[in-house]
Amino acid sequence: MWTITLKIARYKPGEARRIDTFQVSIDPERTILDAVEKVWAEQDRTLVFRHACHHASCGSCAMVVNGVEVLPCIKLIKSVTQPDGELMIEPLHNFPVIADLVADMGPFFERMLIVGMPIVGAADPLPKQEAEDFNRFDNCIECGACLSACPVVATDSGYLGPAALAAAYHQLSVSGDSLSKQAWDTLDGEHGLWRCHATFECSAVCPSNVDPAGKIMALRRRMTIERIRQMLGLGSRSK
Amino acid sequence: MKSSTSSYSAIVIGGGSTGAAVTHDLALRGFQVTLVERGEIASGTTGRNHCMLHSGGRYCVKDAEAGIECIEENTILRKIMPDCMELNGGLFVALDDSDMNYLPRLVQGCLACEIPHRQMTGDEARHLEPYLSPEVKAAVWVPDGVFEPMRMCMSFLATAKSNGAKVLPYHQVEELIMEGKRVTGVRVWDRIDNQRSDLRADIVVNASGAWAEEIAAMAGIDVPVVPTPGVMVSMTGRYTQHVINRCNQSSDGDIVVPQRETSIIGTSSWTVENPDYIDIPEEHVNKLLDRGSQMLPALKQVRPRGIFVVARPLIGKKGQDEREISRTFECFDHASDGVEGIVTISGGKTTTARAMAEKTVDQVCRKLSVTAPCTTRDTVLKSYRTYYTI
Repeated sequence: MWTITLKIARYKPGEARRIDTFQVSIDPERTILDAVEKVWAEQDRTLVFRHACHHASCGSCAMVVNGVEVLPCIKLIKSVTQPDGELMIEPLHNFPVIADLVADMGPFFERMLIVGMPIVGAADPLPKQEAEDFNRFDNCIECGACLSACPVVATDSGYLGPAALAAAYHQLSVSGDSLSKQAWDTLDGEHGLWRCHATFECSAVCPSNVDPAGKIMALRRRMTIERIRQMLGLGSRSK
Repeated sequence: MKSSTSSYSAIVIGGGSTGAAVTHDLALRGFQVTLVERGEIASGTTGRNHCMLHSGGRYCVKDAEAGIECIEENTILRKIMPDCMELNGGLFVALDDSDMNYLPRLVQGCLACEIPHRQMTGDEARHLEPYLSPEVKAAVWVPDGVFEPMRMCMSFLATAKSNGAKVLPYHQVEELIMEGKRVTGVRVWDRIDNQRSDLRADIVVNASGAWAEEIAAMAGIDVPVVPTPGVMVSMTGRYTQHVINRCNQSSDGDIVVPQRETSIIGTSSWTVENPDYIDIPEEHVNKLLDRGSQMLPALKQVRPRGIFVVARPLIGKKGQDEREISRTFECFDHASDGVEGIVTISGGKTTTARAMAEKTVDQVCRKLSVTAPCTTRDTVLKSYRTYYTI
């Protein structure tokens, strides 16, 4: 068992923000989420935080730990600190905060609804497996870490953001589905895929192998080819 | 006999799959319904579920009732929650003599519960799933699937909200308000605004799962729900499209559920007094790794991604062997305990949440002498993405 210090950003509507300090005795093989849950269970029942699956599929627990976006449910304590170490825990950046560690995910899901990518799609067969109609959940677990890390989201509250742009790439290129007119207009508009500054912070923090930045770049290539084809009167290849 | 429920109000305690499905059913039948949940929805047992859409194969041999419930609900969920599940089927795999002796009993059970199934040899199974152990001698295909319990709750509650339900997460019930021997509402602590308030309703549904006893005790009622944790280990890497089950009686680590690029081995079983925070016994983790890799040897080569635990609500007396407690559900009308205005729904599993809700709300309607048929079998749910936007 290690004794570690959790410094947790606290906020309730109408109150000033503050940081509360908790000592926790915990097995270092357990996760940051376990430590937060332990603080709530044993020390402070006023603490609010979001969590559900505890294995990185629901995406609901994303937080900022020591300045970096993580999924605390799969981050072992021993991987981020040492005995007597300290963890600074805050809610996601760039989202309105409801209270404590709970961010308002409405703006995130509004963007995902514009694009409308189904969360389940065709799955490739495994090595040595014969192809069949397999399906699986898309890698994106809609945790919001990418939007939290994105400097453009920080400055443009209308920006579609990495997760929705990666989903748009999937809609067009992988599943071959088309996008709605609203989605196309948003994608090609002032707050769409041309806004990205290619810092790749989103891909760096994504816990689920989505590589949104790579997909935004691929989407730009595709859009550029489309524009050139249109200019040359070759007709649209997609839609 | 009133036929309209539109003047009746209900409070549902507990935002897991049961509470979410009950709230959805009540809203469709015209109740003014408010759900209160002390954490985020699905932050209790439901969230940490194994993610398996049961075909019923796991239960059909010893618990035919649970087996039949599962296959019926499996079919319904595919219809009402489309595009939200991995539907690649499941395999029961037999590795040793004990498994091979169980296999014909499994087939019998599937026939009796009308669970679609197909037998095959070990080679045929490995042809479908090359990563299966070379020890697999035979297998039975069943229509298992994979879902996400948080997104299921979001789907039920997005639909309920669109039908006028109020969903109040971060609202902890501190007291049941009683007038004599009747429950007339709840006192809640809003943990966002740090305010306390009273909510009144004609009926309170206690859907607090592993915490059902804690809530029922507020009205002096004893409910036989035993918090029964189990460990799950999510491993890096996906080695099958199908869910893999051990072809034998329920035991620790007898199921490996694939999901995205991971494999979840589960589960184990023991009882606790306090389900709020549970220590993970290392020997359970080791057993799961061992049992899972018997069916899929590749699991020996990779690392766990997430190890987690939560208490299931099993109905039964403490001291009874957990594996023997039925996984079916029960609705307790506490009028039989001398307390009006409250029912408890407990036991069960997420796969059958909709059916649990149907039976519970039927019971509530009988109690209030109203006629309002259930329509949840055919009502396609709204996209889970609208839960946070409505």
